[in-house]
Amino acid sequence: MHPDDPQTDLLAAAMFVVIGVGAIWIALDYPVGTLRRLGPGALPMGLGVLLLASGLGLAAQALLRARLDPHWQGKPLIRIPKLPSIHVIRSTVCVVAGLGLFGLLVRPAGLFLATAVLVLVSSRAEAGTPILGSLALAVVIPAACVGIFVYGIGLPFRVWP
Amino acid sequence: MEILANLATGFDVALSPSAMLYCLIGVTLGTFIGVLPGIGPLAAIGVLLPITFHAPQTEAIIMLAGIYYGTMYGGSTVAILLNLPGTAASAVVAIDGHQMAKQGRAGPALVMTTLSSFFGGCVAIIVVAGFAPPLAQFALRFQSPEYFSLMVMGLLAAAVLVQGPFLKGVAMVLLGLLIGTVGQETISGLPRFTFDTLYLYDGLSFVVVVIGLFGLAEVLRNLALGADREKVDTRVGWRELIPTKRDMKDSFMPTARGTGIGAFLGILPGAGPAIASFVAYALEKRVSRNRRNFGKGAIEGIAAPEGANNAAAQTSFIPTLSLGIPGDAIMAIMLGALMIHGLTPGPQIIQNNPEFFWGLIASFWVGNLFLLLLNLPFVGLWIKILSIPYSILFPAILSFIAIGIYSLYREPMDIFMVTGIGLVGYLFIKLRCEAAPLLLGLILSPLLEENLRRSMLVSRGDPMIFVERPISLIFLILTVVGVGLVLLGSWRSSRTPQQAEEGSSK
Repeated sequence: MHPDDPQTDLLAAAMFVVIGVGAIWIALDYPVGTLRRLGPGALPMGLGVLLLASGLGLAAQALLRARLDPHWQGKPLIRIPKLPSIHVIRSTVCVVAGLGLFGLLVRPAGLFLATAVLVLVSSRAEAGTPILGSLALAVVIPAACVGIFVYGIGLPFRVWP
Repeated sequence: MEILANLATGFDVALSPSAMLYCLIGVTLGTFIGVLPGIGPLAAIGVLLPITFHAPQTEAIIMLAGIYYGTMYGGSTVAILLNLPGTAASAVVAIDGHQMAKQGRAGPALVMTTLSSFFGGCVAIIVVAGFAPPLAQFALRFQSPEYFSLMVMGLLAAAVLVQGPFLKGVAMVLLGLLIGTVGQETISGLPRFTFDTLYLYDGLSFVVVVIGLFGLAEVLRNLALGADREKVDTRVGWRELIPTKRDMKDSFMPTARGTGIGAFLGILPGAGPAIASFVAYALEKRVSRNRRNFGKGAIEGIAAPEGANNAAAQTSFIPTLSLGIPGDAIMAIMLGALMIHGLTPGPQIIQNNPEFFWGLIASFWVGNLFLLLLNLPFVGLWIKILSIPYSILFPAILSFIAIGIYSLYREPMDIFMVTGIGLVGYLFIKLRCEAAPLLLGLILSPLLEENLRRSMLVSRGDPMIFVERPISLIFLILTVVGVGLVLLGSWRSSRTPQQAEEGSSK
């Protein structure tokens, strides 16, 4: 794919416009102050406006480029992003779930179990990994981590529940 | 002769056998901790700091210097090998360094980081020794308008760094600045963009953002690629570990230029190694004969920011110690550590505590030298990391990320946050928005706001103050000229689409 392809740039521009508008919307509640005494809303408001402007500029630039480039003649410029494949969904969900569980477990269950759950869940991201392999990793990696961080460096973590 | 006398004072302190032993310990430990993925120099220094408290004052300082170099080098190593940078500066080095690693040239990349660092350090130490007192005076002339203009220049230099449209880089910088405003505002105490959560009152932690946008996003991207994942060439013999003659030749001028930029920017209070790396990379990308390969594994893209980073680290001790204004988060930690060891920053520190100041400068040089000597035997070992199958490596990386983040503040929310930011980072990759400029915006946001506000107060609300003051005007002119050149360049390349096509085909 072309690095400057106008479709991607338009999507990125849309993201910047949305964030810019959102920032302006929220910053409306903050006092802007005067030029002499800038208030807490001045910078967020200014940044929101500039972000909105860059987004619009980026969109205009992408449209202009598409018009000049014969490759894009007559092709739709607004591309609805494709749904990610099952593989991508699976790997993303496994990683997010693993980290989420670590966050939930690390306080009540201690470092070893939280890391073991993180490794077990996240290693399912790759369809090819056998379940026994995941289980083995879920023992070895937490043991290594506890060895390095708690006994090696001496971070005062609670290892067990 | 004053230069020699100053340096002699410093090396007297730094070259005693016990000091060198502590330095060696510091460098070794620093490298091993810094190289753990997801830890990063910031956390690594934090972890190792307590060890220095057991050493006598002088030895403690030189050990600290060793730890600094070790962790920075370890940080660059993971940044290059796994694209997991822990600091803004190593994010710059990772741009080309990681590409080189993918092409099986991790060895030269790693060796070059130390060589360029060493070169930068050697030149900067002479600059510091010769000119520290007058430079401290020069830096004192900087007031808020100058800082503001300097930061604008640094930010736009970071925006130039991206592949693709310039406006995309600008938007990412703005986004970083915006994220930097999250949290309680310093003067009024008003919570901004906190969405009524207490967690966001202190703003977003820099480390959480870096690890999310780079480390985690990279893991997600690699997993999503699945079977299409780039195969990393790890069958490297000893000969390929060492940079070729051509690498050395190609790197010399970039290192020299980077060193110059770094030495200069480091002197300015609040600028420091992070800005220096960004500006050096951006400049190199404009002037290098090899500029087409930037972002695709150009060794110049490592040499320039590494030289700059290191030169700036040396010279930034002038403002850090004389004004008490650290250049970036790592310098802030170092300053904190030095204060624990009995140093009070102040304008007279160079006159009043010469052994301390020059000893520190010299020990930084010694730390760098040790790193150079230790580096070669280790490079082969680090590269072995790349030969671990990804299905084993990525759960380990995730564990290091989770534990590293959690060890910072013991806040489980940080884990959820880094996960969310990782997903955003993956979206950025998909939309081809490079995250490095965002980081610089994030770091500089509070300083930018403070100096903007102060300038406007001083000028009674007249924005002309930024062009009426000569030094500030120079920075702004440089900015406008730089941006102009970039826009001209992109306009030219857009008129010749074939060229752009050529550049993109891998």
